[in-house]
Amino acid sequence: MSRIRIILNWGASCGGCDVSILDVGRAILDLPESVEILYWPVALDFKRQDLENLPDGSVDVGIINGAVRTAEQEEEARIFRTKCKQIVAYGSCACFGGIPGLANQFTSEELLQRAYFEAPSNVNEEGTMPQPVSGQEGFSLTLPEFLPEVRSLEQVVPVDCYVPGCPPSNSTIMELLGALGSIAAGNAAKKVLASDKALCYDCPRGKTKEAKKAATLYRPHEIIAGSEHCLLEQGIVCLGFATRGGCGARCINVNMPCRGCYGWLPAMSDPGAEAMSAIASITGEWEDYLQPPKIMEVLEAVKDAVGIFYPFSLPSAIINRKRG
Amino acid sequence: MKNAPNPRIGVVVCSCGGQIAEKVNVEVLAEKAAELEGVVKVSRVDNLCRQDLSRIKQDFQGCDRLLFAGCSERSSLTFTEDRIGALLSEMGLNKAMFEVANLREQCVWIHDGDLTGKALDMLRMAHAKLKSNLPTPDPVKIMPKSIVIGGGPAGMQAAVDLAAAGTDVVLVEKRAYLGGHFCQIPYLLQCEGWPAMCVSDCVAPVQARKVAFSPRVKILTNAEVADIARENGNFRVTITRQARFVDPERCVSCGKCAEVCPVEMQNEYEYGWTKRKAIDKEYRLAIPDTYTLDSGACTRCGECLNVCPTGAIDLDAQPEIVEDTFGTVILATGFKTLNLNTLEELNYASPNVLSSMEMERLIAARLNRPGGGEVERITFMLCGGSRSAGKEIPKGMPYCSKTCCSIAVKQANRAAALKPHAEIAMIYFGDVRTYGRAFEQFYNDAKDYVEFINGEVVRVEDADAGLKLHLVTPDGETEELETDLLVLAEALLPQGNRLIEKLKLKTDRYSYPLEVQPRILRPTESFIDRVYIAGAVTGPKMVQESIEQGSAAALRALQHGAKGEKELLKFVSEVDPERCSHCRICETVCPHGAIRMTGEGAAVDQAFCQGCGLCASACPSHAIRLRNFSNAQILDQVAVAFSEVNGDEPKILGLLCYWCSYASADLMGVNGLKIPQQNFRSVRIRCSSSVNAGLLLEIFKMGVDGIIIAGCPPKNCHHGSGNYMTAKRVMLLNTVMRQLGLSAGRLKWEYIGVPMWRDLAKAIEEMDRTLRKLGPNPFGRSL
Repeated sequence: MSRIRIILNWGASCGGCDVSILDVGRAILDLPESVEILYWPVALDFKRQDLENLPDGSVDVGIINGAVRTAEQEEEARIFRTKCKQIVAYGSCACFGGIPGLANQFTSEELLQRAYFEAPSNVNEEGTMPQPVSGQEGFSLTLPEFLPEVRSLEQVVPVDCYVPGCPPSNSTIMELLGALGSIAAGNAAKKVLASDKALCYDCPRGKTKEAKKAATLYRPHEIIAGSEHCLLEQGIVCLGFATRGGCGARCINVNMPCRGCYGWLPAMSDPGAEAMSAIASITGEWEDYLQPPKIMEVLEAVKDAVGIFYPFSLPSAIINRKRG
Repeated sequence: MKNAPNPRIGVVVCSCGGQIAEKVNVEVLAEKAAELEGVVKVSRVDNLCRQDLSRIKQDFQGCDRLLFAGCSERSSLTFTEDRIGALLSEMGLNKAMFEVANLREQCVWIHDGDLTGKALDMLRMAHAKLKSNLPTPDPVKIMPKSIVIGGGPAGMQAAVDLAAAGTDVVLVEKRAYLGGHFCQIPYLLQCEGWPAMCVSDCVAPVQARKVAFSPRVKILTNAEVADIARENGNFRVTITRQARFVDPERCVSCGKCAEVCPVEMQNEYEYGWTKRKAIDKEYRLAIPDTYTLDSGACTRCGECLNVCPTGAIDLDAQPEIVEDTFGTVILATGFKTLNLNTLEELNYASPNVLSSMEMERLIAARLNRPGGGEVERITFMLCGGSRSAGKEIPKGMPYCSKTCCSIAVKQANRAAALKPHAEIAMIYFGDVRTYGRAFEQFYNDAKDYVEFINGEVVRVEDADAGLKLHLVTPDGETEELETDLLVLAEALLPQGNRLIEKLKLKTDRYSYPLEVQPRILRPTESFIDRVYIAGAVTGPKMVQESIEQGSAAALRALQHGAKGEKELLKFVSEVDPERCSHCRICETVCPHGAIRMTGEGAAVDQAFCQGCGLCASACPSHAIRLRNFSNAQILDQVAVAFSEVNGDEPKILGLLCYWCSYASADLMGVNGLKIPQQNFRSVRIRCSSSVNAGLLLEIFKMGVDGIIIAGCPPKNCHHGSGNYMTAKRVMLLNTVMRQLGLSAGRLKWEYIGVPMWRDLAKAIEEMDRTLRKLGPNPFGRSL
């Protein structure tokens, strides 16, 4: 049987996704038996030329992690698309824009201004700013262009399979490796390697729920969370009710609330708005003897609404970026 | 939502005697209506509500749904949704199969100029919704049987009235006899007319016998509701009943058993002032007319068995568990009194300090104290643990218990009658609240023989003879007063909290169950369908007032009891268990207790659903939808809402709650207010919380430039807290919008009650001004 030909790449990402693949343990050793890796610049010694030399459509599966922030990332995503029969968006950044996507709260001008001039750690007396093309001693140097916004992979090229997670959990990765054959053949059972139901459905604390409102919302440092009861009912914003399951509730198991890295539920119209609606509906005191401003006080715990409700998904939201 | 196959829509365009035709070219409207998908018949009429109804029935035979373009189905004085529903029923159509384009109140009455364009859009909106309407589901069978919980005056009256109208009733009473506090109060105030009283020795047995003699009422005394759960539209109730050691069918109340019984115990009926035997009758006139045995006190000596002439006693009797199903519940669990020991300063532990209820029994005993003791100086203290705020001793309940002033004056009246020479004083906190003409007359008359003192008792000491009271007057002066007896008019609290919780009734902060909005029109109806609340459990009441409420509750319960079915609303929640993630958010937000979690996911009991849509809009899994109010139906309306609005004009959408805000928009027109914003469109939504922030964003995505979402004013949401939920949702979404550099002025939340139409007009005008400055919504495609 011929091996599945795959290529891998990273975009705007932290590197954790690549590490997560290496982190599957001894399964990585068996990989070469079934898989032929033709490009993986993070882990192996490949150059851009190696990618370009691959005949179009000659690769079975291209796996890309990271969001698309620069012109180079966009270009490579397009090259992947022409080389590969199937494209897999790997990790929350590729799937939804991820944490780098939170940069969409600012215009690219604001970001560069902040990074090169305003950040307290900067010393930039000459006012140096990165340029797409700069000349030095007769040479012309180029840098990838900084695009106006962060996009998820599917906002740049069509994607065939989504593997969410920040990073994907070990079991999700094993599921991907097991499914590579069917993905390559274009007949994978699932388009998204995660549950269609919310994490609450598999949550080990599901049984502790009492269907009660939380009178107070706490920021994570304001409370020592009980290790048994539903975190949401303790007043901690846990997005498990609005996030696909499949991660194995790994955050809950270490007493941390779900932040939504497996992505929003399939029927939702916006990644964060419905979670926001639900949180607004089940927290706070709303007794009629209180005056409306008092009723709203519970929301003071929400210091960063975008960060809480769109931590991995802002580029995929309906309002997905600040416009200059 | 799936469209019905080939809807056959009939459209009625009413010119309202020319009022609509004056500004709208109704011919064009009718022509355009005929071109809409599924429209098979269009009729133009001039006076739909008065002269043309019979014509409608003939004209539209063969249609399966009707669109009325004319007046407001909410606010019209002649052609409302109820009347339309009835018309449809007469035509053999389902009552859900209509929509209204509100061309009068919200178009021609609020704008000037040619309004054909706006009218067309409104027609299209109504059509867009109507084409995907689904029929109301079939009525749910419910048990034509009521359970009345609590055998006090309210409960007894409800049971009697229901039974008289042909409904079977089970009456559950915790005590061994009917009547509750009612039969412990010897003199009952008559509420209206001249100052007069009834005696409970007369009326309590009269009332209780009516219950006992009614073949339709099954009385369970010494019984409590252990569990009550909603099940298939009904209430499944488990009742535990203490063992009946004495068979009431055989007992003739001769008292021989009590004579020989060696065990003495305190008689709770008399607040422990007298003794009873372990087998006894706590109160001579008690009904059911039978002796009862206190299982805990009885030593099983068997003496009573030897003397009982009718063989009524069985010492081996076992408790029973009764399970039954009911279609309606009347909760009449009455009141309990504040524990006066919590007011240590008032020395309730002293035998000379009494509660108001204890005073009732002392009056029944003609002021002869069982242990002897002078009763020549009697002092009443009003607000004993009521109106605690601002007091020197700020303990107890902050509210006014309403009945105590009149009752204390009545007690003073009785005491004066029994002991004409007694010195009687009454210490009141700021004012005496003897409401109504009868009670005020009592008060005025009492001034002849009662010394009324404005002040607060801050300390009560035992003195050589009786008590020494320390008072603080309103001027801050301290005074002392000696008395033989101090009667504390104690605060009253609701009883039955466990059941109130089990039933998930919405309560106020003091645990009194609340009536559903608009409570002025729906007395005794709780937030849970077919659970009626009556008597002192809803707030302190005179016996007469409790009886009135019991009757009112019975009449309401009867509407379902008599029919044996519950007609469902056209808006009911439906769950897709395949999608449900068991997060239980729906259950948390449902104000009407219609949702519970099962192994297969959330389950809606539609017979309890009041169609508010709070569950559907809060469900992140989209496993719940509200029938005839889906997101898709709203978006369908939005898609056509602004067809006739010029591209440069801001597109303003009002999402107005069903009860208050939509009616307020109508009242702009009714009151002749003109607004220039012809670019405003409204959708009548269920509760303001029936739309969520995701849907709001979808609406923006479609190209609407600004959204005003409005709901009932604070304290008046018809579905508990829907208005507050939406206020919070909008606040969060506004924050997100601001973080992303988008003006929060595009999305406004407003509390708009019916009479606040001027505020609504102002909000529309402000939004229009804001949007003209901001320009088109950068996230929308053009509509």
